[in-house]
Amino acid sequence: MNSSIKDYIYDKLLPRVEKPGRYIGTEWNSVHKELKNINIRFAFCFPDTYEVGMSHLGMKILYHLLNDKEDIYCERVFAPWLDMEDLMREENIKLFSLETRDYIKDFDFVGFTLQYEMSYSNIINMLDLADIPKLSAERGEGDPFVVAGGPCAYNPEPLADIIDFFMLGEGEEQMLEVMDIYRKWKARGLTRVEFLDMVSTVPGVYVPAFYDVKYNKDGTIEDIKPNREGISLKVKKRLIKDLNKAYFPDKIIVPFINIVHDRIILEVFRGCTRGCRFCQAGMIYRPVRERTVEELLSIAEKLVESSGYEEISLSSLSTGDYSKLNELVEKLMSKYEKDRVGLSLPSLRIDSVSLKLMQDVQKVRKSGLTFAPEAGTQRMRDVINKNVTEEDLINSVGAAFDTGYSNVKLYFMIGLPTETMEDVDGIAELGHKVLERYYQVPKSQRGKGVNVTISTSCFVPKPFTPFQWEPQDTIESLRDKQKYLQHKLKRKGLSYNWHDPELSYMEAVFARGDRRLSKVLIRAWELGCKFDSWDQCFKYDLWMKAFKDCDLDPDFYTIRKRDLEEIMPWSHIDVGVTDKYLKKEYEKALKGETTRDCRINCTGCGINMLQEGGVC
Amino acid sequence: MMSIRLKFIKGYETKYISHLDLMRTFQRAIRRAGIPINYSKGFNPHPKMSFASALGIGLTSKGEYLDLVVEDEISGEEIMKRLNEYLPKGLRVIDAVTLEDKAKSAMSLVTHARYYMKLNFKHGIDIEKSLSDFLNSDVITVFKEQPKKNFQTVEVDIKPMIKEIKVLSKKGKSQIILDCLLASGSKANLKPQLLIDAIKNHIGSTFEVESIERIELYADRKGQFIPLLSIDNR
Ligand code: SF4
Repeated sequence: MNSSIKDYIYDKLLPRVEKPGRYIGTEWNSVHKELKNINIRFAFCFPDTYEVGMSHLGMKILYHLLNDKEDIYCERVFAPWLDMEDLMREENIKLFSLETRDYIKDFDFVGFTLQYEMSYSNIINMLDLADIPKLSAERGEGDPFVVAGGPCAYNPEPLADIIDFFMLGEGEEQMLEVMDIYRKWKARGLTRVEFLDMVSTVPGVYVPAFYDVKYNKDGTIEDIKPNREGISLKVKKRLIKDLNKAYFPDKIIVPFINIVHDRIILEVFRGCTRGCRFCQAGMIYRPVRERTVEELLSIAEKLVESSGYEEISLSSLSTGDYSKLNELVEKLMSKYEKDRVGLSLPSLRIDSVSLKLMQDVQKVRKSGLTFAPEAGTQRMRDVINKNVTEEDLINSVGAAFDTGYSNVKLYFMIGLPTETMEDVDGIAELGHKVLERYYQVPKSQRGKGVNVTISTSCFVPKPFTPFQWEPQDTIESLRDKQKYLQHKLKRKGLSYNWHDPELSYMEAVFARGDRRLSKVLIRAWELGCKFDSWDQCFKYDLWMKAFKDCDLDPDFYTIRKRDLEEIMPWSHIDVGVTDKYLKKEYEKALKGETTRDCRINCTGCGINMLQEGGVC
Repeated sequence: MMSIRLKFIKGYETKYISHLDLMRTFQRAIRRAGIPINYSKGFNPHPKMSFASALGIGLTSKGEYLDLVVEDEISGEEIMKRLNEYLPKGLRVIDAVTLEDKAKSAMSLVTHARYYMKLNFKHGIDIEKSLSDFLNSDVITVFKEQPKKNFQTVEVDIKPMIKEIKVLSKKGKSQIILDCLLASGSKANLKPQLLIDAIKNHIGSTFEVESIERIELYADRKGQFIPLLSIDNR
């Protein structure tokens, strides 16, 4: 690319945006290569701002994984913020990578990571800014391959017309296999469709164009079938058997500007055995695979040295379940105390970790503690299989209050299957009980300025969970429940936060959507939708108009109850957890029966059969 | 324990890094480099380091200063060498001295700053005449926003804060580099952007700013402008 454009972007555009630090690209540990030695250029795109994207662990891993190969250059791209986008459009500047400021339309791959459904409109916007055809079918020889992965890729269908191929599951091995095939393809000078053919042989790679979807009159799916020779009926997700042997970079980029999680993230284990029925992550990331304490210490040491970060955060779906948590925390603390590297433990479960541990760790900062009972009554918690009792909660917050904490946050969901007003009321009651517990602490011993924050999110039924057949609660009903809680939680010391039901509604459409939604996405983008996960940008009315223009009813995807035998848009995707297991769990849920943690005893979810030599 | 003063360059790659982000960037580089920096006592300990003066976003500099307090005997040379291995592109330490025990902080010493401003004029403008007109006026008023007062604007006379402006060099008929010595510090502070506004008020928008670079920070010692590195060192 013309270097004067690169300089122009840097010297003339950046002074005119609010946060130029988002677009710099020379941060410590960012990778800069001689282009003449490069065979494959990969634009790793995060469809949100720099601050959000740079906080994401998967990106850090894959960035260095690819760049460790001599002939591959992976660069980062984030969604330019509105001010930058305006300037780019005004001055006819195309979407560029951070490291070289080259236009990504000239790259070999443009890869998106799908972390949440409401980022999809940004994908369309980024393709448009990049001047890459938005529809896969419209891309020709010489265009980059537009690929995607990440948790939302397990239901890839809403993006089926846009993405050339998806990579399902954990990418550490698969990504390099795809690159190997690409090298061969490039050397032989074959066509685009020949590459898709070749790459579809890599386990976990899904080429949507190679499947046809037929619909029934009522809009449900009649069947999904491969439309060419040699394409498998089902695509299985990829899985790393032993995390201790998986690739992990010994350095990470250290941003100049403040990002959302500005620290070292230490992934202690993957997967979760709790079996919460609302939780998609708990199903799709199975099975549990722990890193050893030694491995974690060695990763921490390399990252602390190479980054200079002053904080390590342990992260997993439920970090408190790590079998050697005490040992790990002790060792990390004794090793790093004198170097002033702090430790944080986010998202601990109230029933699985002693408060003592948290206190040790959070010695310095008496910030708030968070708890996630998720539902207000025992009945409701049994339905969702959140095996926590009221007693557990009161004991834990009590212990916290006794030792001087005065700030706790409680997370709940509303709109859960079978929920009644009694369950909603239970949320308010629990809030009051927690506050009462604070007042039981003698005045002289308790922390000042009590604040119990109750947050409710709106439940979104997700694919590959026991609730995938369930309707979502209606916007009206959700709003009524929120109003009720606002009223019930008016008291000094209590505060109540809630989420817009409209956003959860749209999320629900795309979570369980089919490939007809691709055109809705494009239409919504045409109407001006982008950055939907940002309150100030989300425009519900425009989305509704997009559905109308495309002659589709969003209620079909949200508030409709599915028949147990219905063919789901993702039924050709295999995440390991079987349909049979999900159905059984669904039936138990409706009866209010719980399922035990499968760490103790296998409960037969099927993940151990996903690949040879099962892993559980 | 001892105090070290570093002089560093903030170059092209880091010109958009804000003061706060620069602070964090140095803190992390210091950690990577294993420099035994001293921490403040108390509830929330922080590394003892302070910059002489914040540099506006978009400006580069050849003369920035940073004071550090370190635990052990370690030479300025050694700190410079180690830090330069661990600073991101665009930041480079170019000099270091050990300070006297009771030395004042760089921040409290600085009174003036020198800037080179590269301006591109439209054709047919008599640059010299415009500038001398500007400098010869008795008062040079300009409207200034006050961030702490809801961005209300006040009128200020910046003339007393301009110590000197001269033409450093000229390229062709339209490009000129001005050498400006301006008040900078806690007593009086003239940001170069405000000077640009003032010039534009006076002679019209006849030019565009190509770049502004800070060259040096000084302490005014009885009319002598001494670079910060030459003060209070052993
Ligand atoms: S196979 Fe058994 S032990 Fe493994 S995740 Fe599934 S239920 Fe749990």
